[in-house]
Amino acid sequence: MSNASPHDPSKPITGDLQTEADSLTELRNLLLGPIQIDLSKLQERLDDPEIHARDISQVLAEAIALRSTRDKKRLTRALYPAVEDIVTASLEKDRKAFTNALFPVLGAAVRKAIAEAFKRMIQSLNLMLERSLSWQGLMWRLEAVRTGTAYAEVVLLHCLVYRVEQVFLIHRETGLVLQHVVAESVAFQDPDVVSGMLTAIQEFTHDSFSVAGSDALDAIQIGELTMWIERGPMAMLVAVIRGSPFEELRTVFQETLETIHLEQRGALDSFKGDPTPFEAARPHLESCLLAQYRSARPRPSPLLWILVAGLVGGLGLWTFFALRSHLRWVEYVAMLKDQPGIVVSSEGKRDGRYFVYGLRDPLAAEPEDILSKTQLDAEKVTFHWEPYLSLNHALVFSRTSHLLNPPKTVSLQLEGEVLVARGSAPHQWIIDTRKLLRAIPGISQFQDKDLVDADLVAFNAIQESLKKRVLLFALDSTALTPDQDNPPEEVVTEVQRLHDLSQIVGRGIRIEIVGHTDLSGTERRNKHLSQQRAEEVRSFLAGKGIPLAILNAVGVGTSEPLREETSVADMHFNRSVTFRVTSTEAGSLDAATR
Amino acid sequence: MIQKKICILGAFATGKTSLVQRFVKGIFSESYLTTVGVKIDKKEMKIEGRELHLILWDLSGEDQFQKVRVSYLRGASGYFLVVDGTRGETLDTARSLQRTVEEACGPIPFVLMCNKMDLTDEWELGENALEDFSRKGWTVLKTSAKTGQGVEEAFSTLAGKLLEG
Repeated sequence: MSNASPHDPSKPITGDLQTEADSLTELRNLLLGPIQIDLSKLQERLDDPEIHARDISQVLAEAIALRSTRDKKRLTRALYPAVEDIVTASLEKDRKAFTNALFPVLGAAVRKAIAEAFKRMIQSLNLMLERSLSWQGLMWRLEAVRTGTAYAEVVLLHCLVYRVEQVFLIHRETGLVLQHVVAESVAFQDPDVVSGMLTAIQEFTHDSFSVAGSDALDAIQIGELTMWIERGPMAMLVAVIRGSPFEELRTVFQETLETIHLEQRGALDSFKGDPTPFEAARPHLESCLLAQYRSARPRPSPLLWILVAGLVGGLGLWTFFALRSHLRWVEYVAMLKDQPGIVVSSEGKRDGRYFVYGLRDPLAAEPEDILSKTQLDAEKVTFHWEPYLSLNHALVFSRTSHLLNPPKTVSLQLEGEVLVARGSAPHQWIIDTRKLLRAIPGISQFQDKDLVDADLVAFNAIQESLKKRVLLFALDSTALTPDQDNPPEEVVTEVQRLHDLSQIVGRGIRIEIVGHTDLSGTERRNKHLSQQRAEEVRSFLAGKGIPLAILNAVGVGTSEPLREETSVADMHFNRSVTFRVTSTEAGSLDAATR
Repeated sequence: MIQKKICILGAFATGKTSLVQRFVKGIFSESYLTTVGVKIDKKEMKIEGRELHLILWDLSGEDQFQKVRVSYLRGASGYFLVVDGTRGETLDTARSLQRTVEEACGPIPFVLMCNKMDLTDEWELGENALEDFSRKGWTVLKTSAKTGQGVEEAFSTLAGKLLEG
């Protein structure tokens, strides 16, 4: 292209200097003028980076979109360095902006990651507890130690349903391995040798047994391992499976083999020993490395089992203690009911406390004392007793004894409703007892025929004793002689006692003081003397406090000698005073008190 | 890497297994254990800079009681015929086997190994007989599994033939 400026066809051409070159220029301008202008414009666009960039910017997005649909990998590889630099530059410039942009995502991602990690930890803990705390888990641990295998591996093996450990793609005709894939952590022998042997075995079985031409070995089982063989026209797929595979797995192998045959027909046809083309089949074979483990039945977590066991244990303990407490209570109530003088009207438990309502005789055993023998908590028992008088034999007797308070010389017995008293008791006690017994429930009769009224006995005895008393006087005198067998003081005491007893036993007494003389002297004189002597003793006794009303002095002279006077001693003896006692039954005991 | 299936055939007790053991493992054992069925071994080698994996099918020896299983020959790229140099009749077996293989697999490369060349006192194979085979186009090599003599050469020769194919 000429460097000269093209002629603008709109301007007239000056015709003065028209050389051949000018003519050519003019001709060129005429022919190529418009095109040249366009070309110039185009050149300008290309040379001007600003215009260039503007043009590209208009189609840049579409170009990227179009390229990503055609060859995403290459586009990614091309853009990767630039994007990396952009991100780095952005971070260096302003991290905050980057952080702010990521914040909505980051938080959720972090939370999710934490939740997942926590979930995995709980699952792991559950599994660990499940395996560790179970007998099975312990046995597996022993196996791991014995075999030198990791415990996790032992667990996986035992939980295995099936696992495809190896997959061979074998050329049917030669038995050579086209491709071989192995699952992780699986030990394997040389695949070439293995595939050769597999081929030989198949040929052997086919040759050795009368089978149809199309029939062939399709499974080999040894221990836990199963080899499934799927045949295609040019290759076969042999899968080594540990465990118990489901039959549906064969479909996977069949489909894989079909896919390989479809995709690699040409390579299979032309196979001469170079397995390189069959690298493309590797992903298909790897997709056959399937595994299935026994999924944990939706069992409750061991933690839950521990909690449940704790709850059950706690409930069991509570039940045990509650039952024990109840049995103790029942036993206690039975003991109460067996107690004389206690009537249980109602009992039970309310608001955690036991209660018992009933009647109790004051003389019955203390319920609290019985409670202390049962190991029940006294704080948790409430008593409501109403007093009553029991007609229980023992209690009636106890009550009676308590009320009557018999002296030690009295023995009481309750025979049915009859109280029998034996022994001796003071007169007043007998009187009081007879009165009290009327008010004692449970006693209808008092039998005291064997009970001696001690006071009455003493009264009678003293009467007899007094009758035998003799007070001696001097000759022809009213003075008592000093030598007395019955000292006057004793007589006083006896008379006083007799008087007292007469009041106790309710008898009236009259003590006749009888004066006597000896035969010497005149009857008239003796009569008078005996009277004086009697009067003297009467006065003496009265002076000692004996009521005069009960004393009567009588002189009998010589008409009632005490002894026949055959000696001086007899005469002395007759010079005396004796006593005659009479008692009356008026206001008698039996009439008044029975 | 190229894989090739090689079959080792011959009469019984010609030393087929010993040759394989010598070639693959470099060992030799005086004890004789007849091969039942087939034993498969693998040897990796480099021929002219190319990696070659030989899958060796050591077939049980043929005698009047058992014949070679033709199905084992299927897909073979080459084979060895092994004869016992101390027993001339094993050469006839080799001939028979060669026909069998050619019928089954076609004209694939093979090498005739005259084994037990260390037993010079007992050697029965005459040079004329071996030359006859050579003239027929057979590759004939003397070997000794016991000493290892000629073994490597035999396998290399066959491997070379395979790669030429």
